[in-house]
Amino acid sequence: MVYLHFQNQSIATQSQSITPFLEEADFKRYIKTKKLDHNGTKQILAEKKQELTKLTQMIKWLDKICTFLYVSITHIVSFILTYHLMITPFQRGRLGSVSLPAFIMNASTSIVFPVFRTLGVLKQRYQNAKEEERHIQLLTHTNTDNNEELGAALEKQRQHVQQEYAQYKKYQKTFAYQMDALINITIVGSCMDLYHSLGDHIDSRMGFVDMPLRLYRQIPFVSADKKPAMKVVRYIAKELLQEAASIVKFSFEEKNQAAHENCVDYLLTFHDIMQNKQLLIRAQEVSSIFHHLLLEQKQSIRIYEDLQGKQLLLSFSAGYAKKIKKLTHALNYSIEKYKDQIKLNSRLHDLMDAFSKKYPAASDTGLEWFYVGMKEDTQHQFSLYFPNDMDLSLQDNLIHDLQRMTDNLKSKGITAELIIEDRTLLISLDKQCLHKMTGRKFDEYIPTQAAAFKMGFATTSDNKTELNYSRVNKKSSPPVNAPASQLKVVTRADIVSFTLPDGSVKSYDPQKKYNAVVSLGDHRYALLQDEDKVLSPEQWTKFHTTLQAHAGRGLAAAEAEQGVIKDNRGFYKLKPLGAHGDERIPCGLLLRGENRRDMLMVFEGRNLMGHSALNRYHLRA
Amino acid sequence: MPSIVEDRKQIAALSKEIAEKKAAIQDHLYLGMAYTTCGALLQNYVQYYSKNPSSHHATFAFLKPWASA
Repeated sequence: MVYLHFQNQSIATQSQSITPFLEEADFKRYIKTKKLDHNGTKQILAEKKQELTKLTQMIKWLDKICTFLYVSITHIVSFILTYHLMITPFQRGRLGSVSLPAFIMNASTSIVFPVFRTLGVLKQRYQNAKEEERHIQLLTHTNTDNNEELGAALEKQRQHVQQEYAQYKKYQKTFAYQMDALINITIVGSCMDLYHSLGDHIDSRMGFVDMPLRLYRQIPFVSADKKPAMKVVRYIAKELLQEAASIVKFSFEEKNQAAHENCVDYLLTFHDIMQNKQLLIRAQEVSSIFHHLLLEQKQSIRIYEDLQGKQLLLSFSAGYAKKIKKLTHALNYSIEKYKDQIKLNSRLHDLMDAFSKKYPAASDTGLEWFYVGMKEDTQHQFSLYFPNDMDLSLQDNLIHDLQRMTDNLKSKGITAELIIEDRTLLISLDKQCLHKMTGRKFDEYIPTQAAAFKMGFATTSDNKTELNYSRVNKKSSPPVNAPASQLKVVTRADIVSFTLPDGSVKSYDPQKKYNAVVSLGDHRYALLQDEDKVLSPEQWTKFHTTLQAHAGRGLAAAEAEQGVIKDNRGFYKLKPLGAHGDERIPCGLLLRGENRRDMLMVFEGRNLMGHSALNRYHLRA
Repeated sequence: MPSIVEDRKQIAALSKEIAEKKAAIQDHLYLGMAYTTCGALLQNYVQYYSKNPSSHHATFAFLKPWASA
């Protein structure tokens, strides 16, 4: 601020030419020294320069501090707002009528709008400067008197235009980054939305609620001059895909058909979105996510195992075939690329190939392979389900062929077994694995619609099913090398004696109805027979055969228990009879009382089968 | 060598610039105060929700204690 001092008129008059340039302090100093010669002026100049440097430095620091505060606060505020707008509804388990993309777009708008406005202002400024330049240029053409002056002004204006343009372009670039980030975030939001739309079908155990929050923390809010989006979006996409893969597995385990279908839909939609945005996760990444790949080729289902030796059944019903084909098509690249690395059991592959060639129409008849092998690489188990309407002669042929193949494997030193149970063929390439196969894993990896076809020890009145058993029962000509312990047929007289609740031991009488404890050697099992259920002698035989086959494998003598539990599925559960094993995994017996012909028997026990897996046997009678 | 008049002119320009810088510093200080206020609000917010985790339904409920005070 320029200061004029008139208190001392003489000095003011004396220094009239100087004072307009001096501030008060300088002027006082001038009065004090009574002289403002060249040296004094130089000293003041130096002081001014020093002060200016100091102030510039201070502003620089203040700028840094303010920027830091601004960025921190805006980020925190943005997060809080987003949290309330988007995350909280998820945590409450409802979205209302507003989808996540809408939420994100709303939030995005609030972020984008100021940026967009600034961009507009800058553009306007640039256009104004350009207009001014044009105007001056026009003047230079019309006014030739002061061309020099106009030329200088024009040059100056051009520089100004360039500056404005550079600023506008710079901001535009930033804006583009921000928009890109927002679009990508919106895409992820769409995927999340899809993901959440599955929420109705999936148990909350899958951690639905946690996931978006966890992921959302990874999304950087739009920051200028940086490229925040791609890497993070890709990362999130990968995470989402992993989650989806785990849901697919989960839906298998839970036999949740609806959820499974939705998961597959989700995966495909997700895949499409990513592909459209060229954000497709590379096939090998997908491959690494899905450790276990299943390809549907030539009407047979092939199962690949990865190098980690982990296996997962990916078995899909016919309804999924197209979807899975689409998905696997996307993975083909990966398969082809890593073909050499994928350790495919060639012998099994050959076996399945031969099988497919010989019976090309097998898949049309609904014949399905289920891979149930787990654990070590050397153990492979396959289950082949014979559909109801499958031609019996074809079944015979299949059985014989498979038997021949199994023998062939045996001759090559591979432990192989072929077991026929009910309408299901079980092929075990490792004897040890046989038990595991009949355990929980078999159950959990079979989709719901196939549950009715699970292995069993009984039969229905269906002639086709009876055929299997009758074949087995013909000891003289067994079609397969079935383990005697499982397929042994014993007579009625051998088996059934039971202890009634009052302690008396009775022999089996199929005409009576029982609520009893069955004694099998040292072991006793509570048995509830539904009042309207009359088991046929054959059913009793099979029942007892099963019991006998698995009794005495480390299971301690069971104490009779009077209590009978009927669960919400209508199963009668008699458990666990005081087995000394792990109480969390009781031994038991289930009878299904809904249908006279249906009996579901479940053995659950750590020791029952001599291994730690939870064993579950279903008897469909 | 610049004359005394030149120096004086330079002094005047520097004075003007210094005055502008001082005004800018003042602006920065105001801005800092505003940010500090925001920070205090946020701190209050965080404290409120850490104490009342179930009150997520009311986004601005954390302002109530201040309003009542």
